[in-house]
Amino acid sequence: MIQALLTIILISSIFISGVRRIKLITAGFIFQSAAIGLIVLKLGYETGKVDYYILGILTIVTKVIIIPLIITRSVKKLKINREMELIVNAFVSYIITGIGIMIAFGILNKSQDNFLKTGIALFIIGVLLMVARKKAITQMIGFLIFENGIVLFETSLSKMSLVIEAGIVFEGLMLALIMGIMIFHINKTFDSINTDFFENLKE
Amino acid sequence: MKATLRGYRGSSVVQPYYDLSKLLKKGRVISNRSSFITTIGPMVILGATITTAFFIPVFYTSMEKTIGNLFILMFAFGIVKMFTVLIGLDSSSTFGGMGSSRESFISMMAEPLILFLMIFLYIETNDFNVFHISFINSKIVHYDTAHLITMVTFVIAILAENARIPFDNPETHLELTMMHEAMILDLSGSDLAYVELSSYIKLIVYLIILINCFIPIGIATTFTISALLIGFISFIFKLLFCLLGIAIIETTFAKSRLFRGAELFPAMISMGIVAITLIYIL
Repeated sequence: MIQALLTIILISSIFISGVRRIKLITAGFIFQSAAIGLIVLKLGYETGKVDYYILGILTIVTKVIIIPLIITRSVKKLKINREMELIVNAFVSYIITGIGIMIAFGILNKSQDNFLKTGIALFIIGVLLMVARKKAITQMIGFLIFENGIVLFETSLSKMSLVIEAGIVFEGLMLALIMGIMIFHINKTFDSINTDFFENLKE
Repeated sequence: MKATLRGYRGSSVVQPYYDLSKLLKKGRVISNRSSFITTIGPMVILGATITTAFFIPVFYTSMEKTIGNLFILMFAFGIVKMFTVLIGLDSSSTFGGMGSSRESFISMMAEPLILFLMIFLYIETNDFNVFHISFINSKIVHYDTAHLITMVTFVIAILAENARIPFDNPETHLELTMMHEAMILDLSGSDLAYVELSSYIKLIVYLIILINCFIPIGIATTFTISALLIGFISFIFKLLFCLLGIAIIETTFAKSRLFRGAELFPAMISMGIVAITLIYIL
């Protein structure tokens, strides 16, 4: 069961790293977050701790329902649905993702914890998505994937208190809200959400 | 093989066989510009695919010494592909050459992928024989992550190798979109029947490799009646399930552009890298 969920996480993260259409990226993000939420719930079922249940339900509610709604609404408002020019093209970014996951699993091969390794792999993919894309909305999704990695990472530690876990989840939600509003304003000011135009602010 | 064309949802299940028998009754018409390759090509293709059908376990497997090397399978499919491309070039029509170049482009990308999958199976089971691989894998109870990732990769490799929808539409005859059909456009009568039949067999052989290498639950490992019966029934169920999956993919996805479709291959290769890393480390 957990193996299948980890498979979903890895495959969706690989696909997210190269796909151009924002709708598909959002769908991949939904699958990934749902898998992470289910993993946390399964851990709660196995250990019987209330923390895990709360964290899992929070993850599913915020990341499967609320954040995709915000993304689709802002996409509809902005009338963009795909990202045509990438800084790193799809071929290279797929391969970089594969090598990144390989490195993450290779460095940590002493530890037996799969969540730790997958979490670090998600860090790498999120950072890649933030660096390699030009549109602000995909950069936001990159940060959210990074944040998914944090959730997975800290379930393996299991020493953090519930306050911090809930804080992390709500931080992601707030970020999505703020970015939704910000992207709208960026679009109004620059007629585009391409982050290259931020250089015009120099004067 | 009967339900290969489930995607139609309407025409009869035995309709492909009617088509084939109708085509087999007709004679051959060969363009006078074409050389001996078109004459022998369809027979070679049909022979190679029928050969591969004998190399795979269907619902019985054992650890005995049998012929079933993965490399032989892949190279037999290589023969099929090479002769299809040659027929396309040989007919000296525009579409033939175009289809050949596209087909070789796709298969050029798919070849390293198949090698990755073979390396994965070798690391997992220390064997290249399909019979042995399915025997060893039928003992696994919990599949690990690497196994599942490779399974997904192999499903997409099947779609690419058999010219299915995200890469090529097997039904169309519109000149801009056809790839496999463009190469066999000049064939007619019994030649066309041979090529079509071999493409059906090829799809089913790939599906059987998928079923028996990656999900061989319930396959018969002893030669008794009950085990064989269980193996047969579970095999039929798994095959129908796979075909249903392909039908769903074909009806929901649209054919992507040639270069956009080719972008799937680096994703597959990256998944292959990940799977090999996982199986090697864990």
